[in-house]
Amino acid sequence: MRTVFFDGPDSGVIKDLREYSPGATVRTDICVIGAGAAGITIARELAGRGEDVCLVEGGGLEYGFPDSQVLYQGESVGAPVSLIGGRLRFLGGSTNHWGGRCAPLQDLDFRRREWIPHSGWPFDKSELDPYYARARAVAGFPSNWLSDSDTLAYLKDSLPGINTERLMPFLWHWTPATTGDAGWNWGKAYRSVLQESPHVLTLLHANFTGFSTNESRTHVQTATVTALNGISLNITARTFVVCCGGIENARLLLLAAEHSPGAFGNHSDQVGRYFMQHPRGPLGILTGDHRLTHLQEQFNMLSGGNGLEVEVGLALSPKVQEAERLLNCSAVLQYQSDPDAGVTAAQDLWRSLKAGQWSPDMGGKVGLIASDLGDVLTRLEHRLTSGHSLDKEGAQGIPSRSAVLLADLEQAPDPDSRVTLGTQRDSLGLREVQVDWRHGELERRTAERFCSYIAADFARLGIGRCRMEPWLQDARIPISDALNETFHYIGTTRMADDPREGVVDRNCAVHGMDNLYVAGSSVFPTSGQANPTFTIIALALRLADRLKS
Amino acid sequence: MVYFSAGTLSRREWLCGFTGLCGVLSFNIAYGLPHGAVPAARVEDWLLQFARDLPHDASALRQLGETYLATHPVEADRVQLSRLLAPDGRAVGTLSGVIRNVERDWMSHNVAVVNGWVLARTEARLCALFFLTDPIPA
Repeated sequence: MRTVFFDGPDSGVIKDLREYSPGATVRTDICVIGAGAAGITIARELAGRGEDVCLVEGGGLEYGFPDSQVLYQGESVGAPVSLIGGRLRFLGGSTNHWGGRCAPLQDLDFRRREWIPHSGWPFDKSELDPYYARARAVAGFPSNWLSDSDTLAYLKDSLPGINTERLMPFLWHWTPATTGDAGWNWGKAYRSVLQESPHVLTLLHANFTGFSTNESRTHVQTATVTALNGISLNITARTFVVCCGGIENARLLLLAAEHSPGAFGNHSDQVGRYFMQHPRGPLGILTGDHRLTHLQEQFNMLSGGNGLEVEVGLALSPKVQEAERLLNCSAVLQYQSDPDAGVTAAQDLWRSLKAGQWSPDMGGKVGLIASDLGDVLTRLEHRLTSGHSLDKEGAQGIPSRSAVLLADLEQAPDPDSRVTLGTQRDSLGLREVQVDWRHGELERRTAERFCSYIAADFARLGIGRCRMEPWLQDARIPISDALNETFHYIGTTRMADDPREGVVDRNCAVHGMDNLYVAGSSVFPTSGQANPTFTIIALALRLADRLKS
Repeated sequence: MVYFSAGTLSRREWLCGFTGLCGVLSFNIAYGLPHGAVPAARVEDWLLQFARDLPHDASALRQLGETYLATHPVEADRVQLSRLLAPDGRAVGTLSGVIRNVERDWMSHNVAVVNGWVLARTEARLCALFFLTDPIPA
């Protein structure tokens, strides 16, 4: 099966399903449903090996189809989840929200931790390491990747003497693609690649509306996609891969299982369970009577030239996680500008003048600049002359005397935190989702311990004092009032060797189905604390390798 | 978004308050435990030295002490607190001894969270002793 048949132009194009004639069909090798980071990566990899791929996207080329976006509508019945705002329906999918922050999961994230029920991946991190290395290029990094070891070696002499038994510096790499171009998005970046590939047919405005299977419901025969103008198309393929994001992957399998009870990985009622995110929010505020200049040089976004940027934060050490039976978590410092600093006044003044406006309180600002002239001149000189390989001085940015500790937390997998089908139906007649996102008290305890360790170390080192947010100490404050969602939707089609404990196996194949796979963060059994896109790409590359072989 | 909330203490205020408390503590201990205690005149010297240059928010420190004692009522006793603050069962006597205790608290993570502030246990007890010694703001 090597040829794509349909009544439009040949593959290597991006087509709009709404322009097809009714009753059209496509026959291909691989049908990839969903064109985000996972879907596009798998399509490119397979097409590169000569497989014919039909890549299906529910939205258009760009954002701007409200009728399509509203298909993401649903009901959030637990902690608030922004079902429409957190996801995107156009080429590139919700990855178009991606800011470019990359870090692999850590060793402990993959292990079964007896203090965290339902934790543990079917494999350890070493299985993903080669794919993480390949994922760099997919994520838009040039070959001169700033390795963690190089970065830490560079920082070694100047990092404050934190107690590494409890805390460790944690690095995020920001892809130059996003930091260098505010208008960059995943769909735009890969559009031409898809267009130029002779083996990929990309179908836009093609919304999944159903699977057909063999009699024993173990083999998908066709996927049906439908445009909002009513045009439908059946796609016949050897293999189907669902890559619609952490909520929609579950919805799609649940919709399919409605007509085939027990199939589509849901024989043990696992589809949609264990819904997680990385709750994010302030843990406390760090204050000092002096400026946090030295801290800003270390725990900050460091510019590495050529658009490469490394963000240095803190994470709870694996040793403490194990000893105190905690989750993983990390934090960055968000520095607040010192309103009395000459540099702040100079920046305000410069912005006003650039906008052609006369700055209010001009006299006061000039006075502040004059009283702080040395610092203003030093920073100006640095601004004009910097070009270091990792720019610590430039990271000082704004003079600051206080900083917010902003944390990302891991959540413990909870089977009752789940995505189900609601009673409302969308404009295609499919049941909308109902999401019940839950928090657990282990998140609060983890955050409290983490913040207290940071506070103690910063106090010991004379950096400043930390005041915790009230929710860390007061169990009456709902965690959902203190933390926000991050749109990192994880865990709803989790990976497990035992079909009773998960939806897909270690190769991302749906349990009980011989040609249906799932890609994306929905297969993560645990979330770690790192942003998921880098791991999504690594897993997509791994799945593509499995499908090729 | 500004997260900085009212009622915070700067490190300088902390240092000053802390030093003042050491003086109060030393005075107390000197009164009750004459052997090895710092003479009151020396404590007064410390206070003068720090108070000359730094502000001192006594009411905030008293409040911290009061809050700490509310959650640790068993320590709400001047003699008991003085004993708890004495390193290795001896009188504190010197500022450097208390500072050593605080350092040890940080290293062993012997902390107390009071009104959100993460304090070394010794700091929290100093605040408590301060509150018990002089509960009404002057």
